[in-house]
Amino acid sequence: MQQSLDLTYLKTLMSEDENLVNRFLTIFKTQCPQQLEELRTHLLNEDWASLSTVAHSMKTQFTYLSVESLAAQAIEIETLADEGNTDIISDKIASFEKGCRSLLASVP
Amino acid sequence: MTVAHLLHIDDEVHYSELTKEYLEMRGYQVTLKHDADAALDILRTTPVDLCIVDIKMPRKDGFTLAAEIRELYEDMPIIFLTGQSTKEDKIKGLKLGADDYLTKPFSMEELYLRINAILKRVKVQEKIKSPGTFKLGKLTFQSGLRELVSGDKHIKLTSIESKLLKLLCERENAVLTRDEALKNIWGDDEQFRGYSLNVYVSKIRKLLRDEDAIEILNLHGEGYKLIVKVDSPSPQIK
Repeated sequence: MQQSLDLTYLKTLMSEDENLVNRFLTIFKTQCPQQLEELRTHLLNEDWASLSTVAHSMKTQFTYLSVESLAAQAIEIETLADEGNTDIISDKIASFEKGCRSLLASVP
Repeated sequence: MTVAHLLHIDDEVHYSELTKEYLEMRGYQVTLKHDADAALDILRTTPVDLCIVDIKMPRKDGFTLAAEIRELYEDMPIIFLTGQSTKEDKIKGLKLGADDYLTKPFSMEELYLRINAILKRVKVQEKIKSPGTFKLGKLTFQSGLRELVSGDKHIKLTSIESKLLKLLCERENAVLTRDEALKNIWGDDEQFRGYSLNVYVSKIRKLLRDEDAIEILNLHGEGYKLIVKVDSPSPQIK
């Protein structure tokens, strides 16, 4: 599913400061691909604590961006990692990554 | 004017810079650290007015850090930031004595206002704890000791100077009437003492002349008003 971005909420949170909004988006565009890479590495190493930490950080970014579907997926990945319920986590990460890539393509 | 110093602890390196930048724009001094131990090092060496603590951090979480901060400074104001918002977390945070609790995503403005509110409350509590001590910009006035303190410098005041300055401080940004001043200082409101009062007000103005944030206004026919200029509500807390 194609992800789209509505910055209204982010602008409100950033007190309508264009500089802060743009800085946020720049950080997101740089950091999100790195974090996806980290998720894959932690998955490969079965380092669930680190995987949970990365998913937790990504969840927060998506809530700032009002992309609730990706925030929910990040929460699910974090919870699966925290609970040691790792059988399906690989599929969840793959689906999550697809959504993130789609969103990244729409970030101005 | 003394700027309040905030210590922000968040393992998220990049986004937390935005929070720091925003709070600095609003007039605070902000030190940002990305792990608990680095934050404790700052607290041991530098005066801090308030801590903003992220809960979920690797190595040492925010709850553990808050407990260690409390061991160092029992009354340090703490605001927790969290991506989680479970009732249990909030209760745990409040039990640790958190002054406030913000769930991410939070509005920068809201964080700023909450910090202001907490620092104002702290300022009131400090006044209650030491009723004879007043902050006047960079100066501290200790009425019991009749002293104005600026760094290492202690300036002794006369009994009348001290009584007058205390009255002005107690009515900060409000009118101190001439009658009120005369009665409190000399025990009567004999108008012939009015000249003496003017002289003492001039003396106090001289003592405070290097403080841009402080001004004593003459209100014709009424009395005097000690003005403490505030750019933002927080920066004079210390």
